[in-house]
Amino acid sequence: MMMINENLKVMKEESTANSLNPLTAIEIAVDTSYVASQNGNNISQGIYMMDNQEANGSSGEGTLELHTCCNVGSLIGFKCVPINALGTTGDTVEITGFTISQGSVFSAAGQPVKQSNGSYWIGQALNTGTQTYQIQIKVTVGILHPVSYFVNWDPFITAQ
Amino acid sequence: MANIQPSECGVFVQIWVDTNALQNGSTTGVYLVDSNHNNGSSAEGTVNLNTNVSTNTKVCWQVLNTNKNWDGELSIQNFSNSAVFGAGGTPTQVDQSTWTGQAQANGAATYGITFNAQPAGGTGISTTVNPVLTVSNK
Repeated sequence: MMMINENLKVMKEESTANSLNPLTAIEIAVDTSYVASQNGNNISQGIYMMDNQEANGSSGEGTLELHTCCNVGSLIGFKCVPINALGTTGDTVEITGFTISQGSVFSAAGQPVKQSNGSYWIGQALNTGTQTYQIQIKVTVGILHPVSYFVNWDPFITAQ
Repeated sequence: MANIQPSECGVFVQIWVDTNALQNGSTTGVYLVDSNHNNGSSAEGTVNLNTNVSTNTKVCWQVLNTNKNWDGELSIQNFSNSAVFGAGGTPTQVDQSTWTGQAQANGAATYGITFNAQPAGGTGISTTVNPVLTVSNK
């Protein structure tokens, strides 16, 4: 009986996470062939971040240096997608993790959590202030002999 | 000309729309990116995207919301004529958010994309952007 209860508990938590609808949304569009051509070196092009908070003061839209402004308490969705998603190359992108470089907007309780599909994570801005965070993604190109590249960079969030 | 399927296309352009920022007569909150930086595309992430392709490349355009949970409809209404589409390459509709075309003539020219953002139960906003397509033998 104990085991059945434990299983039910896990399933309930997952279904709650899947129904979340973050008011702040960040998109990461990836030019997979450009990232692959850089062979894992640092890049400043080929990855474009956009959010739904330009009217709330966000800046750096369409670049790697997106500075998102959101309201404190807001859930934040992070979604990444290959620009050639409708093509036949089979390229995939997923988010592999977040670390905080400076500041504490997420705090421990708001640290982004991977959703059922690794291309979508949800975090929460629990403290006011500004933080620099590091996001890492995994870009996989090719179908028969897929090769993966890991890229990370440092965008910003201000919660007000 | 039969519709070009997205799976036939060599280059992809995404039009990202922040519907919270959208206003009549403005392109604030609109960001264009493509999959061809390696081949000379520039101004990605802006409405002035310059997509560089080789002659006869099939191109796919898709309009998307920066908020994947947005409750509304984004649709491409039409494309303007442009010299670089040549005699038979002017984009045609695949579905509500996706159009495909072919860069049949060499040169560099702007082309217009008009899309509509229709929030659920609200009033739609139509926006036109005029990016550049540069076509050459490569």
